[in-house]
Amino acid sequence: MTFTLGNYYPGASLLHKLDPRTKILASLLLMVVLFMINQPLPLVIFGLFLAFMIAMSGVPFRLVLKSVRPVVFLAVFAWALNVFTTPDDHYWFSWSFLHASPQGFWVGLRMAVRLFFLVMATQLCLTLTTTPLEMADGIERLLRPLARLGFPSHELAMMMSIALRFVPTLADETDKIMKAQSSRGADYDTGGAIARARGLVSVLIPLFVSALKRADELATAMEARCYRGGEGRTRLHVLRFSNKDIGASLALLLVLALLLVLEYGLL
Amino acid sequence: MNKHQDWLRTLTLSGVIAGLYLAVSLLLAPISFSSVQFRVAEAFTLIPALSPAGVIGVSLGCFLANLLNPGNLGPVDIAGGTLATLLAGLLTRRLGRKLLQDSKAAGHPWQKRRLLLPLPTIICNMLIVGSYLPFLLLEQVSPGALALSVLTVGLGEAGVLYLIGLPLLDALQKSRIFERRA
Repeated sequence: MTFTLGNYYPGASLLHKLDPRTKILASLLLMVVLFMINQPLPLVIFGLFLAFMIAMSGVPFRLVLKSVRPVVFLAVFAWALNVFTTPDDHYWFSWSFLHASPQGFWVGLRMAVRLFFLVMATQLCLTLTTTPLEMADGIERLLRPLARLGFPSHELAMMMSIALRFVPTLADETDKIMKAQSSRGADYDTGGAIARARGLVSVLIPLFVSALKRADELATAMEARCYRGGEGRTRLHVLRFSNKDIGASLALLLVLALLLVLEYGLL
Repeated sequence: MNKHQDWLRTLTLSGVIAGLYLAVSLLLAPISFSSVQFRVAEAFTLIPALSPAGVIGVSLGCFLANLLNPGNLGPVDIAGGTLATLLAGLLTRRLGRKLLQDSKAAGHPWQKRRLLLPLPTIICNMLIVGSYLPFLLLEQVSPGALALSVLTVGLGEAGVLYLIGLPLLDALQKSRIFERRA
């Protein structure tokens, strides 16, 4: 069974080379600003900036669009809800408590576009150009200041690495168990919701037993290698901010400041 | 087992449970993520009733699943979903231990009152996820839209937890695999 974790698209672009911490903080900032802008011009500029980032990253546009697919239903649902719940002076259509308004149409469209931009920006900064392990490293480094307050940032990062490392193995195991159960007559595709749910339980139990066995073996192996937590532990790949990170951060801040100036007319 | 070995086993067990949550979430992605969330992996949120490693494992798994899910709704969704799962895990752990102690004292199996165990997860997700979801999707959130969101999230959670979570918990408790690791 082939299983890919996340949507990472290998490449050597500037976006790929940026420190994961820069990308995590950038995606947070992009989200905050995206929720602060409402007017069409800043939204269009945000879209153009996003298109520029996609072109620069070398990730095929269709792949970025594919990442939006899971939220299409949600966006249409949100658009429809906005159309029928936004109050206006006149309505296109009225029935009981439902009123379809032109204002609602545009508000809904703006929300749907914002949702697409949000998903595309997060996907581009995080999963498409950053490997899950780089992301775990970045999160650990960002949480490290909290270690002084007793927060187990190293342990958390280690658990994250274990989880990410084991996903392909567990996915493979799931596939094997499902095939083994199917050969014994289990059926996961037909029947009602209750029957299908029961079928899934027969997969999850052996999966748990095998996973717990792996956790025990891993603990023994780590103990045999004298693992004692984060203190004094060195890294093979050390994260360092470079000039690229500083340049990209400044460019991003400039664009986001421009968007806010256009939105709130601060000039 | 000494204290260090115990700590190491909790660490690896939490990591593997997070991996399990993530693998099941990603494998069953088509029915996992939509406005009515029917995420099969949510059935694992009852594991904290059997093991403390389940609290961190399931919360971390939820964080990673939200982070790597192509349909996540940004940092608010990632942090909000994780917070709801963490809170639910802590409450499930407390409730699970209380039910087990009460059952031992009364001399009857806790199975009779295990139907209460999914409630912390259902309530936490309804209140946290159900509350922020409409604010990510609507410009003006009406009380009706908020109530609809809270209800759909609750229904999705209740479905998974009662149909898959409880039978899984029963089977894992009977097998005593967590007790051997306590």
